[in-house]
Amino acid sequence: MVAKVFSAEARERALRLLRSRGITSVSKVLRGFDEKAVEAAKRLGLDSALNQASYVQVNEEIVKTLMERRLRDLGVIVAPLGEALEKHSWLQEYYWRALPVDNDVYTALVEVYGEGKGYLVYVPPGVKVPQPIYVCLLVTASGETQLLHNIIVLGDGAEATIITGCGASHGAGRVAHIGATETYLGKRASLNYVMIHSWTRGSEVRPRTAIILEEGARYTEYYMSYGGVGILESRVVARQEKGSRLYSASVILAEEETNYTLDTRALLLGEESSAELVSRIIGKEDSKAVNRVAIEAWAPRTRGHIECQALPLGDRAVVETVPVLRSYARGAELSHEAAIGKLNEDELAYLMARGLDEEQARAILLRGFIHVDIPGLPAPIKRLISSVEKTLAEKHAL
Amino acid sequence: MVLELRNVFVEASGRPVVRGVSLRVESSELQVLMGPNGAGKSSLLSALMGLPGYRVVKGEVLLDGQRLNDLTLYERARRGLGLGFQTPPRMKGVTARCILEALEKIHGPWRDLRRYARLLGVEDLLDKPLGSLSGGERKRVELLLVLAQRPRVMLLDEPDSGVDIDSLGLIADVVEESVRRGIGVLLVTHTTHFLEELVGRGIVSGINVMIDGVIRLSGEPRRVLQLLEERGLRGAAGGA
Repeated sequence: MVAKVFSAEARERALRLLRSRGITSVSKVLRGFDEKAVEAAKRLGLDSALNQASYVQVNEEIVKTLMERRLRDLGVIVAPLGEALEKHSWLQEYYWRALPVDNDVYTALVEVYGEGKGYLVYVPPGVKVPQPIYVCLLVTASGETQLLHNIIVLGDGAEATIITGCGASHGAGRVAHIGATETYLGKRASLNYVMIHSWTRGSEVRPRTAIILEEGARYTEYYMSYGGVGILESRVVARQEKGSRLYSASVILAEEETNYTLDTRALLLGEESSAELVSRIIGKEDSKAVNRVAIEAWAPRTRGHIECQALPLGDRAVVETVPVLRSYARGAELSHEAAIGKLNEDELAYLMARGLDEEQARAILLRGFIHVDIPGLPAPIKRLISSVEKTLAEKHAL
Repeated sequence: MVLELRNVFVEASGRPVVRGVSLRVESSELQVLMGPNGAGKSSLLSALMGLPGYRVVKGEVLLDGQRLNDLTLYERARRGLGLGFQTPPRMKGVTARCILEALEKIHGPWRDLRRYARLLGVEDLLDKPLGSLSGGERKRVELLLVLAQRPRVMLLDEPDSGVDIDSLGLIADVVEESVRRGIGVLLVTHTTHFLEELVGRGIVSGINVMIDGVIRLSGEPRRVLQLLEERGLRGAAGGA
């Protein structure tokens, strides 16, 4: 089903791209819904579900009930995007601006078939949201295709922390999650954005993210993804104006036959803007993880640093890291460090001399490896991340 | 009797480094092992603990009368042997808290944690990555981690090296308390100041001087120090 039109121009551009690729329905581009799957679904009478785009927000009501009044009093809006577009005409200004609708077939699919699903988070200028805003997006049924368009707007001087949990439930089978997220940070606005993904082996996940940081804005992102996933292909681009700061940490635990491709770019457009992109990747079993990270300096006195570390555990896992530094301006300072290694035997021995067996010792080293100390994150969020790190390290120790 | 070494020979990476050492460390006793660089002191402690690359090739190591020679590294630790490393690894991202939590799973809650952490001045360091600590901080945390194993015998390999004067005092305090609480300690040191500090506290039961893998001199601490002084060997024996 083709979704309601919120912008005629965006719809036309999206359709033009899809037609040029011969795409007339969602299922054609998704790996899981090949002819055999469609045929099987038809036999079961579920073929219409293959073309259906939907999403489930777990605990939506509870979160809203707990936060709604306090948020509303502050002028904060957390709402489904479709509803918000109908209600707030100013939102058109942000609709597919940071992320072009014809960026690729996936953004076009979100526009044409997304039905306005996804969320808006809006924080008025100067408002400092005291508690984290939680968003949870789950796919629970086999054959579901989740098409999301999310817009986050923080006015000048606003501050917020957003935590998103996305994943498929156990036994969800073949599912797809395509999320287009546009983030706009006004002057001196500050956003902590924590994203935790846990998918299943039948999942196809294609996040597309664009962030615009106005003068003096600060964006701190922590992304963790674990569990088997069919394909996870993430593309992130940040455009940074004068004096803005971006810090991004990605922690990936690739296992089973997972195929990860991460593509992150920070464009330092304004003077004295800076970006630090940090990644930790653990590859297990038959997984393949490709991590491309780039910082481009377009203005003087900009600074950028890339740190990529990968740890293949197992003989068949493939990890590839590609740090790219590009300068178009005089006086830019860019650096990178990239390493693929193994657990240090001396460190293992040290921990075993403490009385820990090999599994316990490996768990501690893995936890240390995936830990990234993120500046400026609120303590409760750090504790949440630490708890996830501990659980994962213990699970993956052997 | 707690730890006993009977005519122990050690190889490090296949090379003989210790030849025929016999030594006893009783409960509530501090034995000091000193000697020049390369004498084999650290190799001996590493072999006693069972670290990779170090092997007791002859002789017996007994803990409470039970032979340790054939036990794995962590089995020795769980029997009650604790090694404080001279240069602990940096271990990126790992905090003392992570290790303490893992040890708690083995031994149950450690009621003395806060007290020892306070004594060592490391209460605020437990959640920091070990690799970010200064030399002195790391050495104090190292001692805390050894104690967290609830050892019967601590093997402390130069706990004083690279440590500032204030940290030395804190480390000496905790070593003293450990000895008084019944732990046996075999301690390697190079620095005269730290050795005299320990001797002055009356907690050193014996000093053993190792040269070229052999213990050449051992006995009551003041007597050994006097002999070294008389023979002009204080420096040669490792006293800095």
